[in-house]
Amino acid sequence: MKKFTQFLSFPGRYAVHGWLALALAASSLFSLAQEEAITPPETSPSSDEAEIEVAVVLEEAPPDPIRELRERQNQIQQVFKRVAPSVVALGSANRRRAGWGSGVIVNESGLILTAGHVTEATGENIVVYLADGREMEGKRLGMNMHRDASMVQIVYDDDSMTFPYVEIAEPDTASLGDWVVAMGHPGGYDPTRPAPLRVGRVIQKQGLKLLVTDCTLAGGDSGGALFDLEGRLIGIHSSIAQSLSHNIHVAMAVFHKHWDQLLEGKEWGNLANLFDEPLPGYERKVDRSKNRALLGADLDKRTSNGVLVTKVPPGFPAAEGGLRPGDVIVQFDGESVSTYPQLFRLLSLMDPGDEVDVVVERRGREVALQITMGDRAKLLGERR
Amino acid sequence: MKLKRALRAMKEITLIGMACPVWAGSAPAQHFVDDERGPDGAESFEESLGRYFEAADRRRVKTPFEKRHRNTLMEFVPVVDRARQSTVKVYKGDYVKVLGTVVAEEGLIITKASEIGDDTELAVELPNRGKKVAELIEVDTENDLALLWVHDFNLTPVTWAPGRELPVGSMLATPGSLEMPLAIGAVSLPLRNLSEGNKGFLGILMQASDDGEGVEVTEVVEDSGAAAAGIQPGDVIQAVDGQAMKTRHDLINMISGSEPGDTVVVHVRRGEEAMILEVTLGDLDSGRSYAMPMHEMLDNTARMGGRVSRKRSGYLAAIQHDMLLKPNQCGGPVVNLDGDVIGVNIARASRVKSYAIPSEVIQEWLGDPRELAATVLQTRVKNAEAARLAAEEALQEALDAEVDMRAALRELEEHRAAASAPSSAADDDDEPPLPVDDEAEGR
Repeated sequence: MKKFTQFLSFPGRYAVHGWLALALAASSLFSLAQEEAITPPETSPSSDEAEIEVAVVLEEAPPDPIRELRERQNQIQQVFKRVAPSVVALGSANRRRAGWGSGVIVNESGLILTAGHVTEATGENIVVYLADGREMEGKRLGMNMHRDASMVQIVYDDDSMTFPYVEIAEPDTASLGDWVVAMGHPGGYDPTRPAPLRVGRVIQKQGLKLLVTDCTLAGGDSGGALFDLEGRLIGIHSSIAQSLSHNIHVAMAVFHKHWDQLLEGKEWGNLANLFDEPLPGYERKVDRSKNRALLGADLDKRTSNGVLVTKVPPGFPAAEGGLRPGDVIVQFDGESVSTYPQLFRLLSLMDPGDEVDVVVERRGREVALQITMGDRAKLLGERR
Repeated sequence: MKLKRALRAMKEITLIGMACPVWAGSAPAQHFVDDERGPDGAESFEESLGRYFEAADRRRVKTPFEKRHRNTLMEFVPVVDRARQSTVKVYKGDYVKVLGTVVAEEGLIITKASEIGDDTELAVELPNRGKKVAELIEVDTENDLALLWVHDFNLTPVTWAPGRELPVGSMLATPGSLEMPLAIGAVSLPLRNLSEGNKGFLGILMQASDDGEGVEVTEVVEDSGAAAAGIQPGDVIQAVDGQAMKTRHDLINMISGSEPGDTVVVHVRRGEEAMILEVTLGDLDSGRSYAMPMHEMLDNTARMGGRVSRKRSGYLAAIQHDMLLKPNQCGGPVVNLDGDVIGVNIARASRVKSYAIPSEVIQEWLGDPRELAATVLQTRVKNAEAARLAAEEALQEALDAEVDMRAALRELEEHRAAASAPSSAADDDDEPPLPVDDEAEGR
């Protein structure tokens, strides 16, 4: 249910109100059928009372359209306050090794979770840069290189010493679409700033092993922490791919499963088979070697201030994306377009299956379309 | 060459920095490696790299939960609704170079200075109003802001947010010309001073020397300070400015603490020979950061994901946020959830960060917008007056000239009339007509 409402997001809520108003006009019986979508009265009064109460609510207080956003913002700010003191940077104590990474403290005696490839690069002796600026000595514990997970213990003499730490989530608490917060040290430790925060959403789960989010990461973030909006640790940053949306985190289940081995200092595995599935968004990927992209519309090659669409044959990508004759293409794939050669250059960079944002002028108004580029060989071949 | 080296360095990411199996599995486009400019007409190799990654990003379908997907962006429609009316596109010739922010009703707009270059061929496209020629009034180089003026007195200026620092985690949105925002994200860090971010650049790749008595140079970057000073691969750098360089860290700390243009004295051992060389440092931010030792691997992951702004550092105060912008989407307003403008996007800086100049800094620079508009208009009025006076003078001259010519013509006609009246009919035929007559009769 929670996932569903997030997916519907803003337009969905208005639709619900629309139904409710109709139901009230037609019959009070319907108001009960719609109750779950809107906050129902605590007790269940007679149907007359319910009708009046809901009607008053609708007249007086239209809901704040961005109430959910405000709540989410508040949660993100709280998460940052709670977790920032526990996010650390890791460097090698051996000054001739170049490893840099991040980590997060998970208990008051200074146990740190990080990525396997970070402690592999730093070696056993590690410098831990705490959020308050202190540099501490650290010792590598175990490494599970199959799953890119590792632990580090802060080493200190003073037994009364405690460290700020974060709460670890149970295995598999994150759901697709959940908003999440990433913390770490991109570019390595920088004394002029704390670990920068990034927000995003969970866009894929690869079993219980990996989470993929669109919180952007860069080198140095490895080993850093991914939190849910309750401030619980749900992942450790591992890797990235070319797309801005492909940021990969080791899921908490991996640490739960191998907790004792990691704590004991066991080292095993290699990074060769980290991925089980293709990253999200490549499902419709096509073989580039044979195909070329097709828009499927006739364009006026002479116009300036945008490219005029003259014909849109049905069944082609342009028609399916909602392009109409008479539209003037003014923006294609985020770049503004005023002449045909400009558009042609952008078109030639496309591949079949690319989803492209197109903005057209239609009767004086700008309209945004999303068109999925077609496969020229296939589409034109079929018609012949 | 530069490209090849950068791409080689990137492949090493799979081994050293962020493990990146997907990148390791797919070879970079061959044409791109062989062509220093790139087939896309990119101006620099950095831009080429950015375009390469943007193309890779485009080859996939955005899934419904992503923050760049329509579903997520649509939630922010009411947030950007007001500031959208104050967002303009800034053109250079036929191309949209960057966005702009309306700061006064009387035609004042600010934008990112380094993207528009000189003051020629500038135009802005106002919401629902089409393109208008723009004039460049003033530039603040430190914050990379430019003030433009267009002849329009009914623009909608932005509403600045009350001046207090935004907590980390505050949500932000960047309005574009459409209903939904161009990007959404959050404040990443407390306000930063980036004026020291401009680091010196020596121009070498290096490793620890075999005997541990210095740092061995493995490669020298073309056109760098190191190359100009004659440093060669195989040289061992033993000291810089009198300080011993035992490790790579020592050298990195030394150089990154200096500024472009600084000169350092480098003690070098080449085989058995000891040399002292003077090196003038280059600029790390000018697009050669990939060659910076140690951080180079990290920096390359920071490029994965698209183009970055050419100028992206040096601000005295900047808000770091994580909105996924393209370089030409800077210059426009950034709003908080109340829809008030908290600053102006000034740079896409890497995969993980963008910068905005906070509204307080901009307001301080502009002063009272109405006064500023008055000053700008005073100048325009003076110019217009001067133009009018010049035009009036020219008109007067033209009128005077016409009057003079008419007078002269009349005299000639009178003279001819006087000459023809008493003469005989025979004489009349012989006399050739004056050419001026033909013209005057409007033949």
